[in-house]
Amino acid sequence: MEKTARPKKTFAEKVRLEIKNCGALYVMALPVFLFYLLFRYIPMIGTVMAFQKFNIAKGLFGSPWIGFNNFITFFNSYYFARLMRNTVLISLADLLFNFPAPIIFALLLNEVNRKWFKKAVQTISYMPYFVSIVVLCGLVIDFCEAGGVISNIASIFLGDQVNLLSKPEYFRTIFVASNIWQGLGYGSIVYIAALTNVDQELYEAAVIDGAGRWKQTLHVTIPSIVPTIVILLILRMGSILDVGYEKVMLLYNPATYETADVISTFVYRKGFVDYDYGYSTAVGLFNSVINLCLLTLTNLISRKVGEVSLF
Amino acid sequence: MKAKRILAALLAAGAVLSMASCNGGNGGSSASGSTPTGSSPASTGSSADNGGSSGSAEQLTEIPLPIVQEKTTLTYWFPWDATVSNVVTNNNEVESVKVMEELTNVHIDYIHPTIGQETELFSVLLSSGDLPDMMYLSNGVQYPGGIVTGIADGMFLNINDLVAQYAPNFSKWREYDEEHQKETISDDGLILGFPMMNDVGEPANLGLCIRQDYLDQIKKEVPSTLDEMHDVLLAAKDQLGISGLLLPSKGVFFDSALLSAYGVGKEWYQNDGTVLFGPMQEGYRDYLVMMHQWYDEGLIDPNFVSNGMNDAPTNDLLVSDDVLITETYWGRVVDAMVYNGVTQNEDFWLTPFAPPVKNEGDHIGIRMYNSSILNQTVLTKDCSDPVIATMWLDYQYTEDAMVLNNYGVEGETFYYDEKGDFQFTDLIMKNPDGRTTTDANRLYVRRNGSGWIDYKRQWLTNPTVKHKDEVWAYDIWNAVPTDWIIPSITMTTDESSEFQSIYADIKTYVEETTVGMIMGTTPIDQFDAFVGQLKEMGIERAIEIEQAALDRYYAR
Repeated sequence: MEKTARPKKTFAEKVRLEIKNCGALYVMALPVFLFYLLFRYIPMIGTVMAFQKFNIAKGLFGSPWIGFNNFITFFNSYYFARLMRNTVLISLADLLFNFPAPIIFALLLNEVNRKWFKKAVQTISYMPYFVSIVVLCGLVIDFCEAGGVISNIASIFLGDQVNLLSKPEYFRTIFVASNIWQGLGYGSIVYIAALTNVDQELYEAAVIDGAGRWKQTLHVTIPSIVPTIVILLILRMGSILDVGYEKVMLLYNPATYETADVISTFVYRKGFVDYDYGYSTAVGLFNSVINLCLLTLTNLISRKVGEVSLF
Repeated sequence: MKAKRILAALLAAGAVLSMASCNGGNGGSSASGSTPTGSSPASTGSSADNGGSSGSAEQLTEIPLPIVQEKTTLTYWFPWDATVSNVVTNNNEVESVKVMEELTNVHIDYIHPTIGQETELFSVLLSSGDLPDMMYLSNGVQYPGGIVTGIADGMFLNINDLVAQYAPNFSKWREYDEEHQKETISDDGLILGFPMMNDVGEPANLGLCIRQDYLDQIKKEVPSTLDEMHDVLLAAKDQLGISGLLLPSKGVFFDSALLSAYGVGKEWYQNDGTVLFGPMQEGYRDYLVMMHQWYDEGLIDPNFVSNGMNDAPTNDLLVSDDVLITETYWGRVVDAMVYNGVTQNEDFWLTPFAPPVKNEGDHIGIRMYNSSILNQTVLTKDCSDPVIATMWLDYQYTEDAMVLNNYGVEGETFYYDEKGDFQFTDLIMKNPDGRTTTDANRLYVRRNGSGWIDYKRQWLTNPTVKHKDEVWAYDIWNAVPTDWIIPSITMTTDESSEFQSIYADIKTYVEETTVGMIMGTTPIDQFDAFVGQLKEMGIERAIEIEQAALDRYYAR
């Protein structure tokens, strides 16, 4: 009853109060807000190009509208099936191997008792992350050429010195393996952080119950970091069709287009090399819509099954 | 709580979507702000009007110096190359460019795009809607649909009237010969721009070469037929253990060498005015069969596909001891690599040779060809003073400007020898500050750009030339006829957009199939299916468009 008795605050009053109470927080949030506004929301206006026969001179407002023509052209294109297949396969392979790798790495590190050794391994495993992608791919190309280190080792199994990067069947392996090499250390940081938060009493209790190291990991450590894993997995699912173009472009060549050409490289070539902006945007938009669906779907499943979700 | 969830959903959706717009349409954000204001360029520095009505002012017969009394600044988008950016941060630091500014009283504000990203930056600039006064279309930069489309779109100015009135020197040059007349205009008679031009184009400056020191070791002669070449490669494989033929990563040499032995050019070529598409020909199949056999025999560098070679290999690759035969530019043949310190191997010697034929006496009609008309400079819709810009550009075609732009200042950077020929002074040739010849040259003399250029200037600083009195490689490569080559044709806006949408996909498909068949990952018996697929992708329509453009070219 008091509620109605209290005079209703006007909007302006509310704002004043809010600023008075947590103005500093708003100031701190401002750069992030601006970032999203400028670089994430405003550029979305550009997606209307997907429905236009975009002409640079006529601009966004003058270019003729052609409905879904760009999408139809893409679906009928010679490359459509291949691009979809490559994007999905590279993504899935990356998810399958590259997602668990940092978790396992973090769990292993967690078992190491000597602090200096743990720190040393962590630092060394971070390092490749800070190498520029161009340099990293240069190294990969050199190693995989006939006569390169990796080619030499592979020749034990293949019997012959071959340029591994000219074989379509090895492209995904090379791509995923080099991703792991680069991302392992960095990716494990968040899990290592999660692991330090595990309640030590749980371990003590487990020891009393007679659990060894393996059982402790299985029944204490892993369940404790499952929420972290799930959140990261959901985020990851949102970008499942988002194979970055930089690395693929640096590693592929005409001989491996068959397995290496993905949607993002196609978008890049169409947009920047062929200046076909409308078409290129349509393909990019298509990619994003699928990503959005996957993200929502994973989130839904996760909320139903594990009661952990982003939204 | 609910509101929070919705907000989070929105944020997440936004993040994903905006990735799309980043991936897909980098032009989008800026294009949204580009309402064509139609700001008609007003001429400020000159009393004459916009060139729209010729006859209102007198036609110039020469360019007055200085061009303007009051210092005028023009912006100039100007792709350049690493040999220049190694020594200066902007073209304005080059000595001859400073002299040009003093002479004309026009300050050029050069904007250099990052080397290697010219095409991307050009497209970003176009969509920003705010263009510099002049743009130099080099380093592979092309307006989508060509300059004709750029003019039709209103991005570039139609300069016909400006040229007629304010460009006496360029107009004179345009009449120099048939090639000049035809290649400076479109089919409709639009003058495309202000090109970098010569009286005659540089002779073939790219071609096949072979390691002479290896040839001597295996006691073979320079090959002139495919069989001889096979023989040489086999001998090198047996005796030296090298896979000696280095192909470009697309599987066909830039000037179609080796493929041309089968009577075929690599992409578009012609036979008496009929346009042909190389990869559809039987000769292309024969070439692939041969290359596949050579690849299987280990005669072709197994890494060719991933070394990124487009026209010529990098110096490091060229001097690596695994290469016997490849293509390169004339400046790197004979012992230039030793002279320049790229290799320590004193015996290193590259002999240039003509593309081999199948049977003695066969005709080859394609080679590296340099037109006398090269990179164009266009005036843009935002050009602040088209008249001054035209006059400044026109001055670059005078003899004085030619000397300054190509050789620098007499007495400082060059002198005339007793025969009256240009010679660089020791400031360039033996630079007192210890700069290499190239670096000194770039610091004191403008490199490329619109205007009259003299390609012979490169001869003066090149060691290759010193060994022989004439440029040996040119004579060999340039001796090949050019009757298969398609001249620089122009397409209409509609044609070009249709052609582009058909051909972009075909190009990728041809590249990967060619390489695949050479390496054996795609079986050669699929060649017919390959040709069928090309037809499905619309190659016949592309040929029609190309043919129509060629017909119009000959009708100009």
